[in-house]
Amino acid sequence: MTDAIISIRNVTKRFGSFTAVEDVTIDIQPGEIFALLGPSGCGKSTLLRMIAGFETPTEGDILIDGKDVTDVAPNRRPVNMVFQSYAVFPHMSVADNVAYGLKMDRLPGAEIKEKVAEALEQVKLTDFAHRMPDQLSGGQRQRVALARALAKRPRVLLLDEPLSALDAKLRDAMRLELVKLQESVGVSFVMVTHDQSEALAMADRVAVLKDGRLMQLADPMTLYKHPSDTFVADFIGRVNFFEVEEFKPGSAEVRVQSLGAVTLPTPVEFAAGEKLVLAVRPEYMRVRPWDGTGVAATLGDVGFQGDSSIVEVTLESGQPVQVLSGIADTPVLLGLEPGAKVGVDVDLGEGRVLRG
Amino acid sequence: MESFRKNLSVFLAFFTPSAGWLFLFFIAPLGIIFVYSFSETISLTEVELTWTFENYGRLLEPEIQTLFWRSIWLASISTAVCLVVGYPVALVIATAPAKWKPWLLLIVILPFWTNLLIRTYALLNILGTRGRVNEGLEWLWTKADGFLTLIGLGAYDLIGEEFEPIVFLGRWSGVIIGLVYVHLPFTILPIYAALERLDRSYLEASLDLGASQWRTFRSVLLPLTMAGVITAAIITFIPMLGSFLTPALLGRGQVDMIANVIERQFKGANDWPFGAAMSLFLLYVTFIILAIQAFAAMRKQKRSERRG
Amino acid sequence: MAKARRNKRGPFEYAHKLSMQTVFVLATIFLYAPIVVLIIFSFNDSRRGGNVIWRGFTTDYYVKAANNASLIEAFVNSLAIAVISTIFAVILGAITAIVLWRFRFPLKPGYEGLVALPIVIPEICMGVAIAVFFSSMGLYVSPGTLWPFNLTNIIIAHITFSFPFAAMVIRTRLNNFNREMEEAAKDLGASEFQVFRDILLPHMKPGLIAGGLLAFTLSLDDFVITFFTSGPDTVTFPVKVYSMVRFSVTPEINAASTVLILITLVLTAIAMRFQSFEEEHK
Repeated sequence: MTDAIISIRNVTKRFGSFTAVEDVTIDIQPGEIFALLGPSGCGKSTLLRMIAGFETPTEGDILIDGKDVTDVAPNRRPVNMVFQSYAVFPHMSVADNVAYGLKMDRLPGAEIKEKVAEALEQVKLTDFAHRMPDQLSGGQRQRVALARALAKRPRVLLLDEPLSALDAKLRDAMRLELVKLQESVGVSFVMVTHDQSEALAMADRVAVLKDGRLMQLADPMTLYKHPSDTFVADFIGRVNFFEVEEFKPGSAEVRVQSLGAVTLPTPVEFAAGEKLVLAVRPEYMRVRPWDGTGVAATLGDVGFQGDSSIVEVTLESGQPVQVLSGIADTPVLLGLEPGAKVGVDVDLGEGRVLRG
Repeated sequence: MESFRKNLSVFLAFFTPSAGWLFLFFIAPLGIIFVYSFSETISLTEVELTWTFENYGRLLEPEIQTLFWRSIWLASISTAVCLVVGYPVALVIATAPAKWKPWLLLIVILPFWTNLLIRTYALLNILGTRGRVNEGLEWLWTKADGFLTLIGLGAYDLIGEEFEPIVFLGRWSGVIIGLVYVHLPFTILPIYAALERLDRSYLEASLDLGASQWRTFRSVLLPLTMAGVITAAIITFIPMLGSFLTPALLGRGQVDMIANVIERQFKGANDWPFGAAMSLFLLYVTFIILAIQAFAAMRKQKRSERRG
Repeated sequence: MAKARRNKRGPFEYAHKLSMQTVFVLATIFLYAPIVVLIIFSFNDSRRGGNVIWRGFTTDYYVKAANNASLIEAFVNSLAIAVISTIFAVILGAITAIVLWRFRFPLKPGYEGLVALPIVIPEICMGVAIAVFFSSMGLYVSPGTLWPFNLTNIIIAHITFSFPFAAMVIRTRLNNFNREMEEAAKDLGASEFQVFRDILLPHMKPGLIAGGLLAFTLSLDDFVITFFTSGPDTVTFPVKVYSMVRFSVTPEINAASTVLILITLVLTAIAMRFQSFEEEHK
């Protein structure tokens, strides 16, 4: 037995002929924020709903605290969920909403009162206890949903796209608040999101899913710096791909013609005939006036973002490349106009060879 | 939505009462009059099932044919009047300031909530030869006559020697007024709904492209709300065709429609099988109209799917 | 400048066009004039006809109507039928709406059509069918049956034509239900029944009220179906008025009708209050 709080073991879910989740195995540890990340339709929500008990796996098991709950109804599972629409009951006051789950547990009235007060305190809604949901803002409604789920002291709190219904400014504030809340209550959070920056900013570990399959499971830094394949590299942040023309299996060396025939070691062994690419993130490249060194390129459009700029250049091979320039390296400040010949430096130490 | 198998006991607990009720008190009665329509009256109280087609054959008698065509004409003319009056009314409501809309809608719907018999009776009251309508017309006549006399034309009796009240009751005109009066809200609501759904930028685009208001109405507004107009026409026409009270009270037995003759088979003539055949005929006509509409809607949907 | 702008109308404000306004006003007059005249002449102090010449104000005919035992009996019958059939219609309608909203089952479109059928078929067909059904099944109401059981046939007929309307209204309401509410309740530990009682039923409430009011009005309004299913001893208000109207027009009928219109108005006002209440709390 592992000490994982939730074990998803070889779970597959099919809807008719459509496979929503395919052979996924994940362990979620106590006290962590775990993110299920992927584009829409990748199966992340189905996975969450299977943990909650709203869907039953076609194959595989789900264990909570080491006990198989695959066939346990949602109302009998020690997990609670914050729904995407929050699903705050419109005909009950804030306090009644929070008390609802406790009433279902048939707790004595005094204890319910105490726990409701505590939960509302946690989400800073004490003064709103007697308001009706239609008198609350979106952010406040989300807090009600949080308090309602946390009041039941679940083993794991499930959050379905927790920030997607909030406006941009509130979203940033709530990210931090959710993390702080998790730290104070100590319950594991499992959240579903399609927003990679949200997952990177909040989660301790992230599972990236695509077409129902688990692509990579790692902490945010590893995910960013060592993506397992081109999908993950592309989904998490910006990236430039360069075609690998030649490599010798076993020799751990590749040749990329467009960068001027560079050679660099690869940590993974690839088989002969595989199509490989070199992935380099834009921040590991630099644009400067042409001086005969580096990779020759033509300057294109510059997208100024304040603290940095996204610079488009076209290499001599004809390949378009994006470079992230710090404010000091912005081509305008270097006296460069679009169309100018520039040199591009590539930090090959941060390049990753991936299957294409 | 979930499959009924997933929760069979809940499904059956909910499905059985309503389906059972419909079967017992709706399908079974229709089945019984279906059987009746093939039966013969053998005595004052007895009917025997002989699978005769005679009752249906009698529908072809000239007298019944006249009745059918009269009913269809009355319902068609009244539906047309409802559409012509209902469209502008719906348009006014749909384009009124948001604040007024619910009140304007209420004005139109409120009579619909009033008892049908009372409304028909109220109309009966004022349409008589000595009712309010003719009184109003007489007042107008007197004024007009006085005016003609004043300008020296009084001696020519241009508008008749004296006021003659218009007879509505027992005439087509009375029945049509009654049918329109009773069913106008049915016409207005679907047209209003269609107008509300319409994206106003279509109209703006039309005007922007240089079309006149009238042209915009004809080639943009009307075609785009045609579905609503057709729905309105159908849900106005069907109940009109089966009207009983309006022709009974305003037609005074001289402008009968199908339902009046059906009623007589049951309450007076005691020829239930023939009455059953006539009722079913009316039912079939209704079904045919609904089927044509469903078919047209389906074809339209298919066409747009093919295009998309 | 400001004045000029105020005078300029948007191109689609048909509500501000004189010709359109005229049509609207004329249509309104057409719809209301007969009813207004009826109400006014219910206070007319004239024995004959009652609706021809105004002879002064009186409330005599209200007193007369109130003392007309058979009219009052018919009135009470109508109200009893409406109340009882509404209760059943709302229950059956809610059940039907839930089945259609929640479940997928074979031949569902056919069943949906069947439920809608009583709404679309001509009243006369339904009246005839139900009347023939009762008589051929030998389901006569024997004279002397205890009130309100002597109204059973009429009540059954009313439930049959009104519950599909209630089902339609309630289903519309159910379509607005956020299924996550149901899941949230289950997630918090509620059983199927608790979800129904605590979450779904409160959500359905406005639909139940609206459906109930609709069923009530339809029942009070119905003449044709009642006309066919009622026996000689079970006269409802519309049937009674019909038989009175056929003989003569009396101010008494005007008075009784005015009372019924008033009841309808009050009901409509209640319905409106509920609706606006709901909107405020959305």
